[in-house]
Amino acid sequence: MNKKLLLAAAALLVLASCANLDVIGNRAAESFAMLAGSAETEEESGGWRIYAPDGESSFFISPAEEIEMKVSAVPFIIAGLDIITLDKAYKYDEGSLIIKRAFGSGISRDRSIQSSLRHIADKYPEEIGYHSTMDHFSISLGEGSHFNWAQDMSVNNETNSKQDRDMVFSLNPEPFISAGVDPDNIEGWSYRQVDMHIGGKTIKVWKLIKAFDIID
Amino acid sequence: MKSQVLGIKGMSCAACAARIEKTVRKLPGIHEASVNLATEKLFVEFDDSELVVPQIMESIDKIGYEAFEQVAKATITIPIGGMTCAACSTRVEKAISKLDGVESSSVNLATEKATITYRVDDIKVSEIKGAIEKAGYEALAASSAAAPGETAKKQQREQLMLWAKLALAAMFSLPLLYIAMAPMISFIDLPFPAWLEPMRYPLVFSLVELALALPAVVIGYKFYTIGFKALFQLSPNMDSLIAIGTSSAMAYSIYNTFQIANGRFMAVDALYYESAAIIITLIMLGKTLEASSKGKTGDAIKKLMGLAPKTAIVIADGIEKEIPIEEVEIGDLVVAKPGSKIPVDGVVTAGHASLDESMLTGESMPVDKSIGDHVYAASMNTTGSIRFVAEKIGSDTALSQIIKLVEDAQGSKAPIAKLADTVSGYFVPVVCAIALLSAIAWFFATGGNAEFALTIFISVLVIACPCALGLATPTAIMVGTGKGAEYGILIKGGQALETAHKINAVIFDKTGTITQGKPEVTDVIAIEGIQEGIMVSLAASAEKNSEHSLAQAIVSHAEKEGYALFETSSFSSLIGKGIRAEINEISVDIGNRALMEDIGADISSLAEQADLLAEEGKTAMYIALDQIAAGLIAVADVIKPSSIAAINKLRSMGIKVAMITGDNAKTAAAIASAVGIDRVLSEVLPQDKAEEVKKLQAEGLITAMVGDGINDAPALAQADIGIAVGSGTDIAMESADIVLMKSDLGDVATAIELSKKTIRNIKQNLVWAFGYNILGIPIAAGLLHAAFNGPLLNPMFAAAAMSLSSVSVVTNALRLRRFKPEAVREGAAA
Repeated sequence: MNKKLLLAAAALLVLASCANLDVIGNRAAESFAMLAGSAETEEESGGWRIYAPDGESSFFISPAEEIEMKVSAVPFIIAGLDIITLDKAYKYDEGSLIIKRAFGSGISRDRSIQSSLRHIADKYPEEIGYHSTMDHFSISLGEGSHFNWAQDMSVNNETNSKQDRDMVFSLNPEPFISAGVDPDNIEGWSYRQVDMHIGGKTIKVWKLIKAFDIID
Repeated sequence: MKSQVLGIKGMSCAACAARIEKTVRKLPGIHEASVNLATEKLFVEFDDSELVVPQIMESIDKIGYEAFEQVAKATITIPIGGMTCAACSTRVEKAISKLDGVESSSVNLATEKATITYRVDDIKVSEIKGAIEKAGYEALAASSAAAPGETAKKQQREQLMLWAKLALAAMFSLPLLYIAMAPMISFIDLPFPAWLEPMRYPLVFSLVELALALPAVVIGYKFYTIGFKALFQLSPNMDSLIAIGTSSAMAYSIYNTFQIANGRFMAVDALYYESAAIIITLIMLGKTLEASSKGKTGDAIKKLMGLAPKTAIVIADGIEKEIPIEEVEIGDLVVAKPGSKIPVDGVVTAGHASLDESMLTGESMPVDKSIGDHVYAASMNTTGSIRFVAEKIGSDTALSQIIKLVEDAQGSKAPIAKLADTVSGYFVPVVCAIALLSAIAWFFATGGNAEFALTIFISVLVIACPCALGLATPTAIMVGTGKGAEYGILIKGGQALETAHKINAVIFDKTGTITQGKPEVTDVIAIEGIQEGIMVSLAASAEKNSEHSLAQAIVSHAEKEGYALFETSSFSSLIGKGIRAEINEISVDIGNRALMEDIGADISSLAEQADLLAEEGKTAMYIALDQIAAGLIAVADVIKPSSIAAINKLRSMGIKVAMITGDNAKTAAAIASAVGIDRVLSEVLPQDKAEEVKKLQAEGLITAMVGDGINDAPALAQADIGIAVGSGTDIAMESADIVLMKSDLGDVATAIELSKKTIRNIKQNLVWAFGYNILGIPIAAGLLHAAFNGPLLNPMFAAAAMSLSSVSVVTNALRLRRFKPEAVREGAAA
């Protein structure tokens, strides 16, 4: 029996060593390629911006381990947002709300948009997430906000596919509610509970969601 | 050239043997013919091209004897490894039974032994073992005369191994259960390592689960080796169910691990590694607890084994020397000092001691032993010191025989077990079918939800293991027979134990059973002018030549009273009438009325008193001196102190009680009346006793015949249950279904009481085992869920429930250990 145990353990070690165990990070970086294809380069920052079909919402990533999510501030203001009282993590800039995150100080000008994401995924794997119910990957912008994208946008319309949106902007509603926003009345945004995997558990969390189909 | 042994019937003397030899030698082709009168066998060596065996038999038949082919049979016990359920034992039994040369086979799941009777000329033990191995089980070292208690020692070793394996399996499967379940428990904040979060590191999570599940699966490899082997041979057993269920879980989980590696991360929700590992661990827990409990069912054997001392003091060259018990040889002079145990069986040659023989008889009162008395191994010398010659050693001692007998009984199968065996034979394939159909039905009903279907499939397979069914009967039989042995009641098998509870009529032999069996002189009547002492002295002197029990009673009486005994110049035994002797030229006739008439003695003055004595159940013998009636000596067998209470007890249980005796009607009626028996079968010759039993059976009564096991052998055999009242002798043990070691008739009621309790326990076990499956399978199949949106059964809970059912059955059987005969309970209450 000991021999069998040793064999089993050895087989497992081989399997483990052959595999790159951070499959989420790897896959996230791979699937990001489809969005990356539509990215626009920003000369000034040296980063890339991916625009949602509404032309206003966008996700930015730079080779300097920086990411940013930008959405229109108008619907929030209409829903009661008092910009002055809004948490400082959210920046108001010319009609837009910007949430920005700098992971570190690493600067590498020769990175591509995809390798920049992979770099973050490799270096900060805990910031890359996966939502099994939607088959989405996400990158955390901190304060409960995430930028999400579908693992495979092409299966959007397939029967039994759990995925229904290709690009999702997700905000923590608490700072907005505190700043006077009525979360149920933000045009273009839905206020609902979503599954989040936290501490090994799947729990329901309230979010403000704006989702887009990129590929029909 | 061929040699053959033939059995011969009808020989009565050496002349018969010689005649047969002569006749056979005349046949063509015969080289050697030799008859052994003692063994009633003919050994013949002949040229088989000239002669065949039927011709030899025919020649013997022609001269008036019966020749028959000697079929040498042997009974062997083979311990079987790898049996886990009733389906296994049925399968092994079938595999053995279909072999040519096997006369009968019985496989006991509880003792894990196969008892096989086979024709030694037709099949070899190795072939039987081969068939067992081929069926997928392990045939361990066979023994036709297994060392008593070997099974119990083996069980202890196996239990230790099971506990070790369980601990190892639990060491891996419990952490696995934690990491699998902790993320699902939302109401408690259980710590969980971040590097293992299933939705962040699904591949790490699944590989860790696999790494933890594999050892448990490997530890339980026997479930797979045996289970799949049985499945491929189309005889699935409990292991097959476990193997299919857990390997489906493992295979599906491994498939999903690859899916995770390929980016289907939601497959992390469909990992069942923990189910497989926990099922294996729980089943192992059940098996270990079951083995532990099964070990307790054999406590009686362990107790008996523990009684034997390890050393003996023998006298060699006049010096006392302590040697290991294994070195004691027959004929050794052994010393037993106060407080020590008798090491082997023997006969006392010097000294006097009181021995506690309760291990043999259950009777706690010490028995006095002096020169000529037998002593038995493991009895405790309470006072006095004796020397005795070793007569029986090792496995031949009475203690060893009792251990062997109890072991054999525990290994035997009761008829009620056949029900469980039959059901088990069909059970597993039916369960497999139900599991498959349920899974398919749910797969379609849920729109192709494979995970759900798999859960149903595994749950049904796992919950339906028929272990409890297989254990229901043998465990109760083990405890029941063991408990009987504890009270000095040796029940020789499951069949006897089962039949005993149906008994509604008990027939007692009178002499030696109801009575002490040792007649004593009760009355001495001398006619006027004859001195009583002289008459008894002459009668005892004459009777000294006879071995009849009545004669011995008169001799004992004379010796006890201190009367002188004289030499006899002649002695003759007058069959059916009495004896005649001549002492100092005085003719002494002792016997019945017919003898007195023959010699012309006038007994008119004594006849009335003789009739009165007969009415009291006494045997009155006329004494005539020189053909003149001198007086009467009455002898009677004394009723055992326990007889009246025992018979009353049986009657209170609604059992008809009868007495059978060769005595005349008057004597029989007197004894019967004294003990409270109203149905008397008197003047029955030993050979007719069986016929009388048959008559009672013809009345629809289930009978037990209680006798001393020697004279009553045919009646004991004819009765539904033969109960020998003995003291552990070989003959008593051989001749009956139940042996009462204490010679206390109260134990007849105890045996019936124990049988009733055991059968009730078996029925409870069967109801539990069947009921559990009847309830469990539909729930596992999702019937409640389908009908009322009720609960589903998680495979792990199914495994726990399955293990619990076996443990419950064994625990229920263990309740029998609390059995106390009513007499003991009443005694304690008083």
